[in-house]
Amino acid sequence: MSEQVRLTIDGKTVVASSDTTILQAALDNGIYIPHLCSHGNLHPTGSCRMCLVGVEGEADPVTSCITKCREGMVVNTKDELAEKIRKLSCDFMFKTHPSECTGCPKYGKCQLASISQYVGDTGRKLKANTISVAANTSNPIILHEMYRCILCGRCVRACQELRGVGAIKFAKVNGREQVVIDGDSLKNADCRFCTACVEVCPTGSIREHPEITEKLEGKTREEGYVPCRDACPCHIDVPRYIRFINEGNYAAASAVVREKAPFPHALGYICVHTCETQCKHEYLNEPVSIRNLKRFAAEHDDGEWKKNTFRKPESGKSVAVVGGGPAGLTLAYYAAKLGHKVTIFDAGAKLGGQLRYGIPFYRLPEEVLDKEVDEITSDERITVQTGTRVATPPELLKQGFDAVFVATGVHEGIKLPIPGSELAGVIGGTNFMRAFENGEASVGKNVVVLGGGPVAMDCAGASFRLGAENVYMACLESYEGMTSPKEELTWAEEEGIQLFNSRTFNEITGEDGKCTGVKVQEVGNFRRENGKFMFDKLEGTEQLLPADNVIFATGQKPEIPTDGSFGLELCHGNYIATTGPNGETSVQGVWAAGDAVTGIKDVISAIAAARRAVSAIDVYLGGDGNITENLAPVQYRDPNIGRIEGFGDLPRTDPRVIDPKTRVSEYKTCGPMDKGFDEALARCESRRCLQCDLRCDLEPQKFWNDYVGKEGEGA
Amino acid sequence: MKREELNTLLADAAGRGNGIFVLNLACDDPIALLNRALATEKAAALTDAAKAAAEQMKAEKCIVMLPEGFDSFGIEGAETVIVPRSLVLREAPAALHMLATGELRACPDERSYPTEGLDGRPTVIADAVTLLHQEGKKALMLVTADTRKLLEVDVGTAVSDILQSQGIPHAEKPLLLGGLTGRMVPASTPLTVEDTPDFDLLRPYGAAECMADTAASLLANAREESCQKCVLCREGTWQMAAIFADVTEGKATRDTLPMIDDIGPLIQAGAFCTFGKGMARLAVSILSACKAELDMHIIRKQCPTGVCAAFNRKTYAIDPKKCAANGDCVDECPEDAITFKKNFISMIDKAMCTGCGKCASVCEEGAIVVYDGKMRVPDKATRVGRFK
Repeated sequence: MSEQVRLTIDGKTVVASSDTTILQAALDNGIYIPHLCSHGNLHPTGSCRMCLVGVEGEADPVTSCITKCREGMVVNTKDELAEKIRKLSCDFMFKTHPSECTGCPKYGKCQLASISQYVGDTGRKLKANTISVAANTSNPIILHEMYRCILCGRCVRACQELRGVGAIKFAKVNGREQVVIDGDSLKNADCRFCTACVEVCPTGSIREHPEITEKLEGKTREEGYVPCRDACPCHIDVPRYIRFINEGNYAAASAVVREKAPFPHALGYICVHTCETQCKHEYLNEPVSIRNLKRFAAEHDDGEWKKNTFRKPESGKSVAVVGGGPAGLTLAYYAAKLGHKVTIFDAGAKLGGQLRYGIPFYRLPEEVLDKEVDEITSDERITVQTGTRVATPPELLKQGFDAVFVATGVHEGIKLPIPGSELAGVIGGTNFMRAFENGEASVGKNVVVLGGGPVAMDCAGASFRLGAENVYMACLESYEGMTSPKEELTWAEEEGIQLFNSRTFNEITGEDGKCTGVKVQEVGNFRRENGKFMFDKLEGTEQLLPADNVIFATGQKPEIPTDGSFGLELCHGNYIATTGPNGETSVQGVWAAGDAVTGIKDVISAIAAARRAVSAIDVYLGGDGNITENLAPVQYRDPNIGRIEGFGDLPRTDPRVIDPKTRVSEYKTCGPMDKGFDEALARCESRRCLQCDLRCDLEPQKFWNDYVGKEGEGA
Repeated sequence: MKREELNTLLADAAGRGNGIFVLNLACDDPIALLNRALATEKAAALTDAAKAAAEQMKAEKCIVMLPEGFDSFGIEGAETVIVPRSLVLREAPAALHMLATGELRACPDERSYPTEGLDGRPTVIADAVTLLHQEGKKALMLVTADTRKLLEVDVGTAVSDILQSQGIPHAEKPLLLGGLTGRMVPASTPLTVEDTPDFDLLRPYGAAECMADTAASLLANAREESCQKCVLCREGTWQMAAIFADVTEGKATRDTLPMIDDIGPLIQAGAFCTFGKGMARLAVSILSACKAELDMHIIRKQCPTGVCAAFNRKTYAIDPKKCAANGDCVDECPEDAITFKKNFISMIDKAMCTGCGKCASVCEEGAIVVYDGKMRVPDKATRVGRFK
């Protein structure tokens, strides 16, 4: 039972709970007591002997981090004997520690150095007692340089008590206490690689490998420690939704995605998952299959999140959205919620943009997209005008709209100006895909796809499905350098694509005005200089690929005319020029975002750009621009993650993908080729998450000047 | 712990129910090993006393903590737990922590022992010394270089009487009381047995035992004994053991030992647990109790007992005034350490001499003596009778 007690610390009367330690009471009241082994998230052990204080009536100094406040206690933090003991303890620790500080990666951020600065040096001639143990860089993520260890035991407590893992422990080695791995490697010790040990280590003993540490430069803890969330253009809270999935609360997981992006289900199918490219599980084996987890969560969306979503009263303002792709729909979604009337203009028959016309339906089913589009457009504040091409967007301001948002995308495939590109049977990739989606495309027996990115993969896949017998793909990039996501490349290979990497295209051959083949030649020394592709052609390597059709998947551009009729300043040919970070354009009141600004990019980047733009537009229209939402329930992040046998080697869970033969021959009826995760697979995969976000919950390292700065301000 | 304190704890625990009684035999001093001796020699009485205590607290469970390497004691119906022996386990929180986690660590008293002991159940921990304690009596170990004996004496008995009655010759050497957490007492101090842990052990040192070597090995023991979690104890035992080792190795100077006087009292005041405080007290007490003998090592560079091999590597020398250059010694030397030339004074190479003394035993002139470091000897070939 705790009660309020009054005590005196350094002559100052302090009221504290009897549950509080003297150390905590002092710090709470702006009085600094040196402490090293003590840490806000860990049980105190009193082992560093830094926090000793004098207490009236006690013969020996008292350990303030483990002694609770008592009524009438008179504490002297600057007790002479206590200070002498502190100095001795500090002397001792430095005798075990390398004497050079400047070469240490923790230089300037070392709590031992900081505390010794405060406590002061005695110059005592003690014997050096360094720990001769070699650096251990053999483990993934975490490296040990335990010759710097001062045995404060914070890492051991963090791993054993806080995390319930126990991958590291104290052990006497040749009669000398050390912190050691409980096994021959961290993986074999079932380490969860949560890096709590790294976070609490006061010295440079336990750190992350330099390539990981470097990435933290200039980032906040929240950003740097959770690389998946940081890498996502929308900063979707990945660990939070994976934890919800692991807890079986799938709807809440979907709500977490919705806090940042309005199409969780479509994203679950097609997102380029930059999160996965930064996932630290990569260092153990492969990244967590985040996209498929997102899709699984979205499949279990129950709409409960709608109760938590904001909806502001009508503002009386109106916004025109030109282009109903991911960016335009995102903007419309938030603008309507912010109280504005929205009209979406789109040249196509249906909304969705690249989601509908760029990505084949066998990868993203139409009904999934329809449902998410309808969810947005069913808002009574949104009006849709499809089949309407807006020639001059700024004109909409004159028609009474208070703001205009342009996100018309890139829908014109670029045919490279090589001989023969005008022949019949030669088509731009995006045009081909649009025709495929509309059921209007056909191919001959041999198809050559030029390019190696995601669009090229879809063109190849679509060609197989249209009955092509041989699909050749030629691209400048080497196999390793291909820009398409790895799994899409794998799928194309399974379907029988024949790859010609490191090739340039010399000419398209033809007969009677119709293409018959492509002459390709091997290149060496492929590189990019000033945004241009550079390479050397290798003599004598030209070969002819037979082609009834040639598909250029070498880039696409906006359909914006360059004659000035569009009414906005353009750049790099016919892309829309923006003048500010939120998509401001040359015309006040008009914003632009998406592929028409950036060139072809991913859906999630377009959504992120639209979120920035909608905030700016709202502020322009007199709102506060705030679109922050907490749609998911509050999550308890249990720090005690416990031990999972063989955790570090848990393999990435494969989604259920239909076999290549069936998915090609029955593509019209078999539904999406990738069936994603069922519940068992999702739960299994969610366990693999390293839960990097838990590290943010640990108290940041503080130095004496952090406290002393507050001194004098009082409580 | 006094028996009355134990009774209070037992009564308190009895009122709470569902208690655990722990007989702790793993908390012995490594020199005294008093609990172990009691458990061996008074096994029946200890079993009865433990059962009675468990009954007194209405314990639902009984645990016997045995030190590694000692398994000849057990109580029927009690769980036996083998743990490393350590003085650190004298403190109840450390013993509880050991039982709960298997880790040796002096702990903060977080659980408010004994009400929330093991598994949150009331737990009372007692050692054999406390359980078998009788008012006015003291069980103690008398240990010498070659004997160990469990004695039970009346409180107030003069220590000198005990030593005399046990036939231990008076050696004018210091006496160690209580072991690693005890104190070294100068030979002349009159002592009577008190009912304190200091009198768990009487360790008189014999004439042949070197106190510098003893100090070094006591502190090395303490280093082993330390749980090494608290900086002052971990590094303090290491530093002090290294300092005493320097003394035995002839590396000490007049500035060496004052370091113990400097850091010892600070460690005694500042160490986390009673072990750390106790071992520092011992180190400081050694300094005053053994001053004369330690100084011999440092200032005179001599080990009076000849134990410290570093400077008492006994070598022989040939008295140049007595040597007759007859070569008897040369043939006898197994190391070929003696240079011989007819009519020249024979010389012993000190670096090669192992001090076996065979040469001295054959020299009819009695010219070969243990080298005392003072006698002048020739350093180059010198004719018999010409050395000055």
